[in-house]
Amino acid sequence: MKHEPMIHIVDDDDAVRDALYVLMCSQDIPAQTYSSAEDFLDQHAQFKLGCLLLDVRMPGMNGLQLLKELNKQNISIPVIFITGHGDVTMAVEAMKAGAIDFIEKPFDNEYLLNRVNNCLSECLNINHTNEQRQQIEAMIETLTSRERQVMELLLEGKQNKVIARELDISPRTVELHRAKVMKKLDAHSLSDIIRIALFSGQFKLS
Amino acid sequence: MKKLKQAAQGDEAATPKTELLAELKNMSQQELLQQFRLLQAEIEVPIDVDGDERLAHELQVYRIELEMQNRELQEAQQELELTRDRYADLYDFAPVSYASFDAKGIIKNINLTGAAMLNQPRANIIDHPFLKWVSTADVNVFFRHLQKTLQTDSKTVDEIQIKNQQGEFFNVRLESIRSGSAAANVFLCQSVMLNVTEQKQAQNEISLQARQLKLITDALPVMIAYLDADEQHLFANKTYIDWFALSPAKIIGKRAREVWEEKIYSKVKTYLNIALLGRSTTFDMDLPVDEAEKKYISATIIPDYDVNQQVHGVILLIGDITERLALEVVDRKRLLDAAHVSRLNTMGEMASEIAHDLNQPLAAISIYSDACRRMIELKKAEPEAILQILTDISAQAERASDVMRRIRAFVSKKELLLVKTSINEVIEEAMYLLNVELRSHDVKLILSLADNLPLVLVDRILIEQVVLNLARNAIEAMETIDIAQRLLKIYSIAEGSNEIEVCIEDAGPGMSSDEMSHIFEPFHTSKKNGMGMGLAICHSIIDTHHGRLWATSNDHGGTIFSFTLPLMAEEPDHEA
Repeated sequence: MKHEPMIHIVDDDDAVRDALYVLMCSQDIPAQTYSSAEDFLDQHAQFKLGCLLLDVRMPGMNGLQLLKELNKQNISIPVIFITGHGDVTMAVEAMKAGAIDFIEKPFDNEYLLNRVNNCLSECLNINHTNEQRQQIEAMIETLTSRERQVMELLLEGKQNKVIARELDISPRTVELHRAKVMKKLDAHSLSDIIRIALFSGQFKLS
Repeated sequence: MKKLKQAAQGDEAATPKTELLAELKNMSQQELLQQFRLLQAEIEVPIDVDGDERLAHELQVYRIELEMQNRELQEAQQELELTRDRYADLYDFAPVSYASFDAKGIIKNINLTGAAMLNQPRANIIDHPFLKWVSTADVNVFFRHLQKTLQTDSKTVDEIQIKNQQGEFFNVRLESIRSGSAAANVFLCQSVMLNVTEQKQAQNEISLQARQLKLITDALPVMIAYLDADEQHLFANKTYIDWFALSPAKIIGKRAREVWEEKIYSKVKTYLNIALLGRSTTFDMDLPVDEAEKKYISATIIPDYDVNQQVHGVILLIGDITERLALEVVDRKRLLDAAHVSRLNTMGEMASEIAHDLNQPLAAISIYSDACRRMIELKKAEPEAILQILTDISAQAERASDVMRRIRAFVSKKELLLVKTSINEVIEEAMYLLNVELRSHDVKLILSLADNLPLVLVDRILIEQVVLNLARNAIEAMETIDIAQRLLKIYSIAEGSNEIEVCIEDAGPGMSSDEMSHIFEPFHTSKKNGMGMGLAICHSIIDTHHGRLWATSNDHGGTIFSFTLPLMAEEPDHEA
C-alpha cells in the first residue's frame, strides 16, 4: 500500500461519486470511493493519509455525524464537505466540528480541485501558524462596521434579502458589502469566510 | 196472492170448511172405520126387505165415502197451507228484499226485508208508488228498468239509488223478471232489490286508492310501468308516458317492443327476460334517443308473482340519471381542478427537494464533462475511457429528464383516467418523488407492500397524490421527534376479498381525538403556510374511487392514515 496522500470520496449518490472519482483520476489524484459513512468507517484504517470529500446529507450516518465520530476516535483527517445550495447552518456546524472547507453544489470543479490539492499537500500539517493568524486578524481589521454586520448575518445563514430587511438597506447594497468583505478577506466563497471567522475567534457562530 | 197476503197479515175470518175439518178431526179414525165395516156387512147380506131400506143404506154408504174423500181433501189443503205459510215466511224473512211493481211503478207487494230497507210499515208501502223512495237522479233509470222488464222475458239488471224515510241513501241493484199472464195482459215486475251500498263504497274506496296511487306515481320522478307476461303495458305513470312522449293510449295495452322501439328494446330485453324468469335485476345503461343525444338510465325490474308463484308480470322502475351524471361530471371536474391546484402546491413546497433531485444528475454531468475535457487537454484520453464517461453523462441526462418527466406528469392536469393499476407501483412512484424529502428530514422509510395484490381501477396521478400527501404529512408530523425515531411505514394489504388497503403510519406525537375529528374538513390546518385543503382533497379523491380514507392512532402515539380502494368487481360510472 502506497503511503501517498489519497482523496476519500464519501457520497451516497452513485453518479456524483463516480463523477468525482473520474475527475480525480483525470488529474492523477489517487482516489477511493465509499457509498456511505459506515462504509468509510469500516475501511478508513487502511488509509491514514489523505483527505476526505464528504457529502453532508446521506441516509444512515450523515457527513457531520461521521466527522464527529472521527473526532471521537481521535482520527485527524482534513475534511471537505459538499453541501446543497444555501445550507449555511450545516456548513457552520461542519466548520466548527473541524472541517477545513465546504463547497456548495453545484460547484466549480477548478475550485474543488484546488482545494483538494491544497488539502493533500498540507494534509500532514493542518495547524495554522501564528503568522497566518496575524494575517487574518489584520484583514478583519480592515472591515467597516457595516461590512462586519453584513458578515455576521451571512454567518447566521441569512440570505441577502433577509439581511437587507434587517439592516434596512437595499439587497443591492448588501451585495456590494458582501463583495467588499470577500475582497478584503481574500475569500473566494462563503466557506472561506466561515473558516476565517472560525479561525479568528472574533465571531459568534451559531 | 191475496190469500197469502191475508195469511201474512193474520186477518183471516173463520170459515165453515174449517169447522167441518174440526168436526172430522174430533171423530176418531177407528170409529169411522168401524161404522164403515158395519155398513159394508149390512150391504152384503141379501136383503129381501123392501127397497127403501136398501136405498137408505146405500145412501148412507155414499155419505161416508164422501166424507172420507172430503177429509182427504181437507188434509191436502192443510198441507198446502202449511207449505204456503213456509214460503210466505221465506219471502218475508229472506235476507234480500223482494218487491213487485205494476207497470206504473206502484208497489204491489214487498217483503219484510224490503219494508225494513225502506224503513216503513208494509201498509205504508203497498199500493204506493216506488218513486217516493227513488233518488230524483235515478227516476228515469227506474222507469226504463220497469219498461224493459215488462217487455221481455229475460232478467233486467240496473242500479239505482234510493232514499229511505230516515233520509239514508242506499245503492240498490234491481234484478227483475216479468210475472203474470200474457193472456190477461197483466204483468208484474218481480224484483230482487240488493243493497250494494257497502259494495259500492268499497268500490269507491278502491277507485279512490287507485286515484291516490296514480297521483303519487304520477308525481314521482321515476318512470314506473307494469308489464304483463306478454310484455304488454298494463300501467304506466305520467313520468313514463311523458318520457316516451306518447299518448297513454299508445302505451297502455301495447307491447314493450312497440312502445320502446327496437333500439331500446334490444338493449333492455336481456334484463326484462331475467325479471320474467323470476329474478329482480338492477342495471345502468345509456339509451340512444336520437343520433346526437343519449340518455342514461338506472333501472330496476321486479317480477310480480301470481298465487301459483308464476311470474305474471314485471314492475319497471326507471330513473333518468342523465342530469345527475352531468352534475357528477361537473363535481368531478371541480375535484380534478382542486386536486391539480393541490399538486402544484405540493410541488411548490417540495421545490428545494426537487431542485436537489435535479442537482445530483446535473452535478454529475458537469463533473463528468469537466473530467473529460481535462483528460483530452492532458492528452491522456483513452477513447474507451471517454466513451465510458460519455455513456455515464448520457445516463445522467436521462436521469434528470426522468425527474422532470415525473414531476411534469404529477403536476399535469388531465381528465379522470381510470386504468387497471398495481397499487404498489403507485406507492413506489410517490416514494420516488418523496425520496429527497425523506433524506433531508432524516426519516427512515419502511415499505411493506404485499405481493400479488389484485389490480385496482384508479387514476394513477390522483392516488399517487394521496399517497404523497399522506406521506409528507407523516414526515412533517415527525419533525419534533428525535431523528433516530423518525420512521415512516407504508404498507399495502388485501383487505377481505373486495378491497385493498394502504396504510401510512408515522411515529410522531399523534393527534388529539378532537383534532382527528376535524382533519378532513376543508381549511382545517396545523401548518403555518397550509391551506388546509390537502386532506379534504385526498378524501374526495378516495371517495371518487369508491374507497374510504380515515385516520387512527397507533399504539405508540403516532397516527395511521389508511385508505381502501375497491377491487374491480364493478365497472365505475361512465368514464369521461
